[in-house]
Amino acid sequence: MFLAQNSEHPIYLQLASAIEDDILSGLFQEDTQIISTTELSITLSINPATANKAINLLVDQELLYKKRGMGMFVTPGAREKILLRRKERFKDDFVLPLLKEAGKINLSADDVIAILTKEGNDDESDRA
Amino acid sequence: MNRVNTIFKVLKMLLNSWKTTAAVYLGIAFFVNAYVAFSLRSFQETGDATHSEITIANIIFIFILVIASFTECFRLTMSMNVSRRTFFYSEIIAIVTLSFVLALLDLGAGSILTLLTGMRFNHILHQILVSVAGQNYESYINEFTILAFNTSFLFLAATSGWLIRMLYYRANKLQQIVLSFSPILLYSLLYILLYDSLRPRLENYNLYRAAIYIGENFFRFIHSILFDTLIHFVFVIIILSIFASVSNLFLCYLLIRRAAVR
Amino acid sequence: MNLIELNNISKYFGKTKAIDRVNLTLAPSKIYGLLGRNGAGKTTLLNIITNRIYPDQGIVKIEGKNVVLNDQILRNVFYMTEKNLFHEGYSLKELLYLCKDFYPSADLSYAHTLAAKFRLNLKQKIGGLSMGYLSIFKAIMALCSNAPILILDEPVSGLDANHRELLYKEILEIYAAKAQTIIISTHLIEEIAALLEEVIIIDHGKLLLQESSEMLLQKAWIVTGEISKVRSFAKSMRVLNAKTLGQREEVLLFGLISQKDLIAGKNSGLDFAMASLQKLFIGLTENTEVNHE
Repeated sequence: MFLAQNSEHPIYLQLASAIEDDILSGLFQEDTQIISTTELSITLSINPATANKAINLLVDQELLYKKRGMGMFVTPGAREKILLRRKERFKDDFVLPLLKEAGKINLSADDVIAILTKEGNDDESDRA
Repeated sequence: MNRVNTIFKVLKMLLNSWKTTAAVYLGIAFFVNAYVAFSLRSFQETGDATHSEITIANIIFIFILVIASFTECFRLTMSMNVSRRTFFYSEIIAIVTLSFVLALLDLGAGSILTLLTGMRFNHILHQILVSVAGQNYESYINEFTILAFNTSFLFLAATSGWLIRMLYYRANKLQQIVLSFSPILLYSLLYILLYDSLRPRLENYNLYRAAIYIGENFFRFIHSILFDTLIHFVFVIIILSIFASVSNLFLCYLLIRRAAVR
Repeated sequence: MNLIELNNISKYFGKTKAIDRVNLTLAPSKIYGLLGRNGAGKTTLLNIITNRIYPDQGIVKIEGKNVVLNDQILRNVFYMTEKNLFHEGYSLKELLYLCKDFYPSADLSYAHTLAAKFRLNLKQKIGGLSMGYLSIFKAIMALCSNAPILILDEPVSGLDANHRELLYKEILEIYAAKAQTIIISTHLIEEIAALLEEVIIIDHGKLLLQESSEMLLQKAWIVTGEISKVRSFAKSMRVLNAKTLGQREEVLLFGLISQKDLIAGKNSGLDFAMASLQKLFIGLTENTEVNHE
């Protein structure tokens, strides 16, 4: 888990995002306990209130739930929810900035597609 | 943690910080006192020898101890976030305790020496009374009056030391210099006012004459108490000491209330 | 109920006004950062809060009661001063026992654990400690005292980087366990930024701001771009400082920027970055603020 200094996003948002990543990657399995806010705050050297804010945000989004006396657990179906949300935001968060940068350096949309196809194929063959 | 508890904690700290110095001092004082007594006994042929006690040394010791230990104890107390008021009460109790203990030890050591050397115990109270009022007052001297006298005098010495320390603590550099010179200045002033050539000229003023009248009559009053009333001289001294100590403490409180922590 | 209140506090040292009409309210169970330049008045303020010195005007109340000569209230505060008030002859162990005497809820075994972590030998006399270890010891006393209010004045003064990290973690641990009110006064702003819940800035004896650190950081922007574009963008905001290099200008802005303005700004070719707390602090206290005509 890594928090960038001086990012545009406040620490609690970064933390929430990092926890989402860990849920996505399977580090935190559904219906299992995640790292406590105390541990989070101490490991990352941040104020516990900030860590709490991140956790509460995820609880509001129904990605985590609280078990009385035990801690925070990953909600069943959280992974799917995250995937869905991120897919919806993919265009705005990644594609549009990509196209804008491409425009700056005079790459057309087709140029970009060509690069994507090549890299995509290479990547798949690496994975296979 | 309630108030009384804190007072006792500070008291414990104070007594702890005094105990080693007191032990060393007492060791030396008793040793010297005993040495003198025993030496005297071996030199004296007649059975009329007397030995003294460590009262004067005690007075000087407690005076200096209170002055020297103030800064350290005050700082320590303040660092534990205890209020000045609590420190004030604890210091009073500590001083009273130390005065009493020193007085008791003085008396006890004296009695032991009397037993060991066969010499009479010639307490300073004896000497004062005899020089002031003659031999017939000796019947009033017993262990209790000596103890009371010692304790109250030590208490006076201690509170005076504390007051002097407080004056210096609250004073800035300039005020401290003036303070250091003040006894001499005061003495010179009094001398000039009362005995010197200025007197005839000042006698023209009613205020001056009134002040002299009150001053002289005060001592006359004391004198009459000495000889004319039922209150014995010893008790007068003890009561006066206590009054003086209390007024010292009152001034100390005023000074310590707003003392900065330095 | 508000834990610590400062009502219109002023303090003069001779003719100098060291604290100027400071009004402050601190809620319980938060970690506060008290920031200010050298001589701004941080230590003076902390001394006033703990009744070590008296204000010339105003009252300090803790839990609604005046702190002056109030043992009941003062017993709930542990004040770790920058200056060492202990006589050099005392051993560290003795001082810990003293701490336990006056703060009955102190946990001395925790103190020993901390001393081991910092490799501090408790058998030494306090006079023999280096400056760094003196700070470490005082911090250990503060942390093990379990007082509901901890005031730490320059706790990392003289500590090496490793010890600083360790101390920050220990502060967070005790805070996570006990939820005390902690006020930390420090010069090392960047290191402590993430620990703080609220930031209080004192400048020349005056209260400059008191705000949650998260909110504050959201208002600290570094905007770079072509001079005219930067200036027109920054028109409605506080410009704390400005650096010009050729045709480009970099400004430090203090204020909120809406999503709309942000996108517009980016589209017009401006670069945006968040400023660190330290940079913001320097900008606020440096007198380089640009006045819009």
